[in-house]
This record gives sequence, C-alpha cells and structure tokens, in this order.
Amino acid sequence: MNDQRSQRGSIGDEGLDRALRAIHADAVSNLSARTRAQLQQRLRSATRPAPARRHGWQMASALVALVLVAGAYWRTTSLPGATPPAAVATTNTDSGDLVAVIDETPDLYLWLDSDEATRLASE
Amino acid sequence: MHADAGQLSRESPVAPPGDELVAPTLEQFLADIGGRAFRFAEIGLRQRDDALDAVQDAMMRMLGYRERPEAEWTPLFWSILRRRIVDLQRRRAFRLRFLAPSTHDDDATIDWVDDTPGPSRSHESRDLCARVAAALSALPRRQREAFTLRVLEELDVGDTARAMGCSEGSVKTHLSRARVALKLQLGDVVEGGLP
Repeated sequence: MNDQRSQRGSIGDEGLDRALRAIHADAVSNLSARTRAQLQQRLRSATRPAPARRHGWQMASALVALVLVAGAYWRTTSLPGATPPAAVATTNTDSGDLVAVIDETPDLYLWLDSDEATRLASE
Repeated sequence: MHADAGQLSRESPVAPPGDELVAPTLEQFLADIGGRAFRFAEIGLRQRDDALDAVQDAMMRMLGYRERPEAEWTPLFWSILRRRIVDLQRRRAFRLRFLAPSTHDDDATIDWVDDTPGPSRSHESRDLCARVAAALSALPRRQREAFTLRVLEELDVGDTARAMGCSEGSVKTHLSRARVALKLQLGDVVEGGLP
C-alpha cells in the first residue's frame, strides 16, 4: 500500500497523460486492415443511402396514394346507399313536390280558411 | 475490400456529382474520426463487432445534425457515440442476465494491425496498448469517458462536459479519480518510458 502511494505520488498528471496519449495514438494508427476497411465501408453506407432504399420509399408512397384515390373513387361510385339521403333531402325541399303534397292533403288549408280558424286566431 | 477502402479515402474530400445530401466536410470529419471512435467504442464494449456497430450508428445519427456549425461536430459526435455505447452495454447486460448467460465472450485482445515490419516491436506495442485498454475498461464508465475524451482525444473541459452531458466540475472530478486509478494500474508503464 505504501509502495502504491509512493508510486502514485511520483507520477505527475502530465507524465501520465503524455504517456497514455502516445500509447493511444499508437493504437489508433495500428488498426487492422480489416477493421479499417469495415470502418470505411460502414461510413460509406452511412453517408450514402442506397438508391434502392430511396426508390423503395417512393414506390411505397405512390402505392399508398393510389390506394387512397381508388378507395375514394370506389366509395363515391359503387355505394348507392351512400347517396340516397342527399337525394331525399333534395326531394323534400323541391317546391314542385311540396305542391304535390299539399294537393294530396288539402284539409289543413281548408280548415285554415274556415270561420273556426279565424275565430280562434282572434281570441 | 482493402482496395475499396483506399478508393474511398481518395474520394472522400470531394462529393460525387449530384450527391448533395452530405456536405463533404462532414464526410471528411467522420472519415478522420472513425479510427479513434472505434478505439473508444472498443474500450467501452470490449467487443469488435459491437464497437463497429456503435461507430456506424453514431455516424448515421451524426448526419442528422449536418446543419449544425462545424465547431459543434466534435462534442456532438462523441456525445452520440457515448450514448450509443451505453445503449449497447445495457442491451448486452439484459441479454446476459436473462437470455444467454453462457454465450457471452468478451474479446480480451484488441484489434491490431498484422502486417507491420518488425514483429517483435509490434508485439510489444500491442501488449502495451492492450494493457492500457484493459485498465481503461476497468474504470467506472464516467471516469473512463472523462479521461478518454479530455486526455486522449484532447477535448477541452467545456467540450468534454457537453459530450458527457454533465458539468465541467463533474468532468474534473471524474478525471481526477481516473488519473489516480490509472497511476495505480499503469505506474510502471509510465515510469518505464514509452515504447
């Protein structure tokens, strides 16, 4: 323990840093050829996305857009049940058809024109 | 494979025509830092393939910050790599604990060139570097990060703090403790002189 303490005290921070920095630089400059090649290959694959991958995304996007358009088209043209409410609404608001309804049930209008209705209104 | 690597090195400073996705300077930065990043990851993970994966992931993520000023690249890259290493360490710990406790095999040796002249000197250097790597690996993670970034990579205290995600005071504390431990572990190496 005393030996360790004296050893620790005799080595300065700068000496330690300088020695280990030199050893580390030696280690970095002595990477194996295989590792250097793999590092450069991985760097290349990281910095240049593969064309196939880019085309793949474009194809997928186009396919999704096509499916959405086809779905929307099919829904508007092939589902007859989807349109009738609009047709009914249109029918109900059409003035010609309203006249037809009144013509079929004129009792209400006959009563409105009667004396009883006039008396009730005056009360 | 080696020929491809040499070709890439020659091409790196200049972007290929039409390729505007990556600024050449960032590509060059990543090419320059690759070897040092690998050693950093190798010490942290003690496994060559995991170290390569960590470096590649860090490079890919770094490309997302290409708009950042060049002065920020260094602490940013080390920060990304450091976090990636921590992720891999945690994943590995989970794997060891629950899935495959008997299949793990730490690579005790370090990656080293095999075709240098003077095999005896190369062997000595390799042993020395392996010993330093083992001493750094044995340090607590934060101490190892502080010493590696501040001393070996020569980042200033501010950049080291940014890369580690802590205060400058914490960096100094971790660094001081790392030095004490390393002096105990490697005192004879330092006093014996450089290879």
